[in-house]
Amino acid sequence: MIYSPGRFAIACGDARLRQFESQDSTLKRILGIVIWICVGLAGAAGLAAIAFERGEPLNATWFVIAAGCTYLIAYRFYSAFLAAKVFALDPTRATPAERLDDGRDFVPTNKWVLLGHHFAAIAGPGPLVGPTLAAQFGYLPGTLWLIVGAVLGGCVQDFVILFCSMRRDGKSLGQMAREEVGKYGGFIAQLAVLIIMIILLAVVALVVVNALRASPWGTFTLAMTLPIAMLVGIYLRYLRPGRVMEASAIGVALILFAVVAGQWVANSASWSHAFTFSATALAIAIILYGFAASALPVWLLLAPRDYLSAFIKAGAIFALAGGILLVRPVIQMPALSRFADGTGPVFAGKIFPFCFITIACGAVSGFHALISSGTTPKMITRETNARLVGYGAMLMESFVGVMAMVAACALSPGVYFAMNSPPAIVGGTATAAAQTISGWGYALAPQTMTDLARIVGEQTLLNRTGGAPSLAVGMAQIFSHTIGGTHFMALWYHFAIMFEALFILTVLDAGTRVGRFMVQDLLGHVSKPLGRHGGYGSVIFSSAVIVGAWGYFLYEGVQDPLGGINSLWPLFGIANQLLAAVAFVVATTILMKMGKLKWVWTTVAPMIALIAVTMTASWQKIFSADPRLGFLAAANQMAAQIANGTIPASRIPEISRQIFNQRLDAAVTAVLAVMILALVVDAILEWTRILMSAKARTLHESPYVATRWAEGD
Amino acid sequence: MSIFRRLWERTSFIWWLARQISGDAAYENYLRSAARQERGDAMKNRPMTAEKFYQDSLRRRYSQASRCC
Repeated sequence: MIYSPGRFAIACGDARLRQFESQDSTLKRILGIVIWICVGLAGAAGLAAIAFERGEPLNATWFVIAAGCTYLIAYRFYSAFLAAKVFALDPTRATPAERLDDGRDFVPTNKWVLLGHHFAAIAGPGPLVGPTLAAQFGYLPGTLWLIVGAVLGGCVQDFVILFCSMRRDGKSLGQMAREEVGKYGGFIAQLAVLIIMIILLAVVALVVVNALRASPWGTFTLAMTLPIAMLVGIYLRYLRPGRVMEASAIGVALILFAVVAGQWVANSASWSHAFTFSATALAIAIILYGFAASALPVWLLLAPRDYLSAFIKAGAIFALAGGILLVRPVIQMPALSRFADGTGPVFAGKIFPFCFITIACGAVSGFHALISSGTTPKMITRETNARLVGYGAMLMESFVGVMAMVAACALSPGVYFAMNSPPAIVGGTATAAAQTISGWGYALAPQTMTDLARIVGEQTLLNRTGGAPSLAVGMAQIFSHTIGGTHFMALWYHFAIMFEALFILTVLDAGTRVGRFMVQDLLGHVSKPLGRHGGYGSVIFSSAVIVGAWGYFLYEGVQDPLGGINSLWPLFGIANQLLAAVAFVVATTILMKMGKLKWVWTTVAPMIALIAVTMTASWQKIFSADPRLGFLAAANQMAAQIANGTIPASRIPEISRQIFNQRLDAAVTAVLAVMILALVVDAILEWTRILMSAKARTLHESPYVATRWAEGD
Repeated sequence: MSIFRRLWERTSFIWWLARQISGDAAYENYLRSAARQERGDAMKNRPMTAEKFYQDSLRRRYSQASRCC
C-alpha cells in the first residue's frame, strides 16, 4: 500500500490529525490561488506597460515580466487543460520508449534531460533573426505575437504533434498525415518539408553571408571553426569515442581563442586582406562548404560542429538572459514605427500578414512538428511528460525570441535601420543613409555609424541586412555593460557573430544532409543505384542536387539589389507556416477521430489563423502592384525598363536574370499557396465524412499496454 | 544537511544533467539498456563497442531532421 498522510490519519482514527491536514491543505490551496492571482496581475501589468507606454523610456524588464508571467499562467492552466481534457494523457499507459526500448532509438529518458534535448533540437536561428527583422514595425506587434502566438499556437502544435506521434510509436508527421488525413495530406507534408528545407538553407546562408561580408575578423573566426570541429571529430572518433563533454570543452576553448585571435588578423594588413571577401565570394564558399559537409563522413565535420554549436548556443542564450536582467536596457524603438503601413526598408509589407510570417519560429514553427514526430516521442518515459517537453520547450524558444526583440529594440532606431536596410533604399554611404533615415523621423548622424563600426572592429555596419549584425550589436551592448565596458564591444560583437554563424552553419550542414536523403529517396523511384544512401556516386549526385537548389536561391539573394532578405525571408516564413498548418490539420483530424469534437477549437483556431496569414502573404507576394512587395510587379517593372531602353545594354543580362528570379519566386509562392488550398480541401472532405459518420473513425493508435513502471519512476 | 553536502549534490546533479543532455552518457545508457534486454532475452547479441555505438548513433541522428530553424 502506498503511504499517504490521509490514509495514515484514517487508519489511526485520529480526528485531530485529519482536521489539521484538512486545514493545511485549505491554506495551501488559498496560498496557491493568491500566488497565481499575483502572477496573473504581474503579467497583465507587464503587458499593459509594453502596450500602452508612450513617450516615456520603457525598460526591458517589462518584457521579461510580461513574457515570463504569461508563460507561467499558460503552462499552469492552458497546457494542463490540454493534457487533461483534450489529449487525456494517461500515466498508466506504457510509452513507446518503455515498450520498444532498444537503447538506441527508443530510450526511456528523464523528463528534464528530454526537455534539454528537445529544446536544443528546436532552437535555431529563426527566433533570433525573425524578431530582429520584425522590429521594423516597432516593438509592440512582434512582442505580442511572440507571446500570444507561442502560448495559443506554437506550444499547442508542438505538444499535440508530440502526443499524436507518441501514441503511434513515434511515427513522422508525413506518415501520420497519410494514415489519418489521406494520401494527399501525406504527399503535401513531404513536399512542404523539401521546399521549406531548400528555402530555409538558402535564407540562413544569406544571413551568414551578410554578417561576414567585408569582415576579416568574423570570417577568420568562422573559418577557424572548421579545423577545430575536425580536430574534435577525430578526438571523438579515434581517441575517446563518445566523450562529448571533454572534446567539446577543448573545442569551445579553441573557438573562444579564435574569437580573440580574429582581432590580430583584422589588425594585420596582409592577413586582413586574405580574410576579406565579397558577398558573392562568401556565397560560393558556403555552397562549397555545404557540399563538403553533406558528402563527408558525419563524424568528421557535422557532428563535432553540432556539439560545439550546442554548447556555445546554450552559453550565449543564458548569458543574454542574464545580461538583460542585469543591465535592464532601455527600449529605444517606438511601440509602433511608421513602417506599420507596409513601406518598411527591411522588408516590404504591412503588419498583417508580414509580422506573423517574419516572426515565424519564435511563435509558431512548422519545422518543430518534424522534431516532435522524430526522436522526442521515442524517448518519453511517461505520457504526462509530453506536457513539459512539448509545451514547455516551445515556451523557452518563444522567450529566446523575446530576448532577440529586446536586443534589437535596445538599439537606436536610426542605427537599426541603417544596418538592416539595403543600399538601394537608404544609400551606400553613411551620409546618404543618415539623410534618408533622419528624413523618416529617426535621428542619425553620419558619424554615429562610422564610430559604431570602429568600436566593434568592423570596416562598416551600413547595409548589413539579414538581422544577424544588428542582433550582434544589441547583444554586444548588453554584454559589454555587464563585463568589460566599451573596450570589450568589439570582442563581444564578434563573439555574437561567431555564435550566430556557427549554429546557422550547423543547421546548414544537418539540413543539407537530410535534404540529400530526401533527394536520394525520390531518385530511388527512378533509379535504384541513385537511391542508395551509402553509394558513392549517389551521395555526390544527390548532394550536388540539394546544394545546387539552395545555392541557387542563395546566389539570387546575394545578387538582389534589395538585399535578398526582402524576397527570401517571406518565402521561408510562408513555407514554415504552411508546414504548421499541415500539423494542425493532422492534429484536428486525429482529435475528431478521438471523439474530441468539443475541444477541436484548440487546433482549429491556430490553423485558421495560419491559413489566413499564409494565403494573404502568398497573394500579396505574387500579385501586389508594389514592385517591392509583389514578385510579378517587380519583374514587370524591370521588363518595362528594358523595353523602354532605360537600362544600359551592359546591364541587360543581369536585369534579365533578376526578372527570371522574381518570376521563379512567384512560382514557388504559388506552389505553396496551391498546396495549402489542396490540403484544406482534402481535410474538409475527410472531416465531413467523419462528422456525417459516413466513415468509420479509424484511429491508427498503438493499442493500450499498461506501464510496468511505478509512478515515481 | 550541511551546506557543502547540499552544494555537492546540486553540482553532481548539474553534471549528470549536462552529461545526459550532451550525449556524453549515451554509451553508458545503452549498456544499461542492453543489460535490461539481456535479462529479458537471455543475451542474443553482444552490445556494440563504444566506437561502434558512437558511429551508429551519429548515423541515426543525422539521417532525419535533428536541428530546427
